[in-house]
Amino acid sequence: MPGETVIHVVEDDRPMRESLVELLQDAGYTVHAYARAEELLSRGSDLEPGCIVSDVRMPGMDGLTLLRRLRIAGLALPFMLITSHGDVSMAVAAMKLGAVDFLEKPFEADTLLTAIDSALRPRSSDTGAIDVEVARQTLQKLTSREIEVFEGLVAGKSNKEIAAALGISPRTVEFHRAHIMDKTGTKGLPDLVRLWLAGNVPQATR
Amino acid sequence: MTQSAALDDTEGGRNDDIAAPEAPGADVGLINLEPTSRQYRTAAAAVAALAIAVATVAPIAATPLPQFAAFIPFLNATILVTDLITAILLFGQFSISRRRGLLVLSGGYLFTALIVIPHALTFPGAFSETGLFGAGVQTTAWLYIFWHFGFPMAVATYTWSKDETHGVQGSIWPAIAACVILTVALVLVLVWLAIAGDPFLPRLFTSASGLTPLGRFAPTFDLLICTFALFFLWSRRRSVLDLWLMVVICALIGELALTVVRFSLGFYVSRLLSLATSTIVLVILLAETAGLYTRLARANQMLRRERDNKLMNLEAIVASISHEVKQPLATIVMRGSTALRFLGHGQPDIEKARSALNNIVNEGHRASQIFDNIRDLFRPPQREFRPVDANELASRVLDIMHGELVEHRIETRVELMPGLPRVWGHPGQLQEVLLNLVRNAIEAMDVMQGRQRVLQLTTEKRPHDGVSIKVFDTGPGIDPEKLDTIFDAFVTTKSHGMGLGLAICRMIIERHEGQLLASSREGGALFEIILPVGSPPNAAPH
Repeated sequence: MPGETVIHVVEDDRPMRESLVELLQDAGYTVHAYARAEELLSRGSDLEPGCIVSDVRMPGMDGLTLLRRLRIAGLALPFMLITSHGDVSMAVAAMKLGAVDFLEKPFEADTLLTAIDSALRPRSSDTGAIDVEVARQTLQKLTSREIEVFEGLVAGKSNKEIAAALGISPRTVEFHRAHIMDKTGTKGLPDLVRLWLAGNVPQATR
Repeated sequence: MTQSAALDDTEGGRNDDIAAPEAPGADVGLINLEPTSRQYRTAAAAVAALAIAVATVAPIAATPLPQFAAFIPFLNATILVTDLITAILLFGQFSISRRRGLLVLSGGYLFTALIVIPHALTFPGAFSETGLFGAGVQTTAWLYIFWHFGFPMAVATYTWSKDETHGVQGSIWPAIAACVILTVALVLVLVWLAIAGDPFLPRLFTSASGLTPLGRFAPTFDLLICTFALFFLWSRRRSVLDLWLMVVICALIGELALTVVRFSLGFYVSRLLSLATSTIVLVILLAETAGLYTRLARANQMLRRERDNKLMNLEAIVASISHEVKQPLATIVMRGSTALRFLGHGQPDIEKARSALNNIVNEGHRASQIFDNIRDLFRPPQREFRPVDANELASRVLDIMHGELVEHRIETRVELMPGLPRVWGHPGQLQEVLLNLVRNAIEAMDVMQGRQRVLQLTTEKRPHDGVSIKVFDTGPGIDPEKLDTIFDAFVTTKSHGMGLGLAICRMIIERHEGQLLASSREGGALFEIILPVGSPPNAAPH
């Protein structure tokens, strides 16, 4: 049970912020809400351990910069990004910076709670993180064309851009994308990015 | 066309740039362009020079000069080439404009190009003593008469049909082919007539260089046709082409007036004039074509750039809208699923669920409000345009934002230039844009700690192109790398309800025929709205 676990919510849109607070409080978390990234950052090392849920696009400092600043400050709280459409490349960058997950608006209560739950799960156990060996084996099941498409997706490119780069139609990219999800058993872009980052090591040595 | 006249009325080059791409392709052509006063002067000068030359030569036209046998073949070969090229260029003009008049004129030039061939071949002493093809003494002379009859007739026919509004429908190739075939056939018939009919046709020459009375009169007949064509053309003159065709006809008249005994001074000068008649339109066509090509290329480039801008702008606007609308939608999904959760508890929490549902209702209204606002922005507002005082606008915006400015401890400095001319625009939209710029400035300065926060709002009259409203803040300024894309990416102010993206702001200002500029200077960012003064923007095609 969450109990005293603290969730920091950074969201500039007031109705959304309030609804997040209400949900998380109902789920039993202690919630601190911030309208701006700077407010959270200014608390520095006073920040209670827990999980940060932050919007990407905000006036002033954006979510990605917040993540970077926190990492520089040595604050390694699990970080979850909320994005709206078109922020995929940003989200991928965030994953690479160590964000645990990102959620695309709109998302449901359960999705958020599940994501927070797994973000807060202790890392020591093998269940949370993807095993490097498993990731490598999963990636090896893909054809070279699928790997190329995968690369494009993880680089945050749109289907159209990938199609143009590979000289195939956007339709085919979609097809490859579905195939990749099928073969790897992933459900969405966050899964894909996680898998890619975990399996990236064998990619480099191959 | 009145369009080009309207262009000249407006000051500065800016409107030229805007209006140039709007000219439809079919209207760009010699047959539609009105001659400029300079072209009129040039044409008048050409005619005057011609008249002087003819008047000088006429009294001594009969002076015999040495016979130069290669003269006619050389001259006619030149005419053949120039008239053929002219005909081809005119066919090209026809294919754009589809006017039958141009087709006839092309035919006229083709006719000349073709008839000079037998004229040279049958010319006594050129290729054989009496001319090829068994030509008689009269053959060449009759061909000359036909030649100088056919061409002005073509010009007259062109003049008669040039202003008809409906052009050739469907493919132009059958029309061109018919014109070419008819012209060739006509020339062949005339050649046959001149050769085979030589004994029967009225006698123009007693010998290779001796004229009969009829021979002296025949050019006069052509001359009358030319004069008729000239006055007909004068009465219906309209385009650059018409103007220069009149010069051509004048040269033709001069040529015919000097036509006397072969190998006299008049003969040589008159033939040189026929070379002039053949080249005038060609030169003008080439010059105009080159000029038009340059203008077209520039207009095309401008169109392409405009289209790219529009697409980019559109993309940014769609992103901005979708972002705006996603906020309430995300909240609705969040609240809805949370409400389900409340109801799913062992002890359903009706009160909390009710509150969540209330929130959903509110968010639904908010989403709808966003669409209303957007629709207001995109509604063609031209009819609601009226004179707007930029100073009033600035004062009103400052009034609205007063509370917020105070709350954020921002000092406001206002410099409003008195007696500004009014701009033409939609007061609500302009206010929305300015509000948005002020909000952006407040947010930008919010980030800065321990620095004086100053919002400076100034209005001023610009030397040429209108009124400028500047919003200057002491925030962090704009990243130089982002300066180019700041209007693509949107700086949203979503916490304040309808946050217009800068892309939409710029779109609004551009619909006012103005400019929205962003720059970063020492100690802050500067946004400048420039609006044209006075009359309604002329871009109101809808």
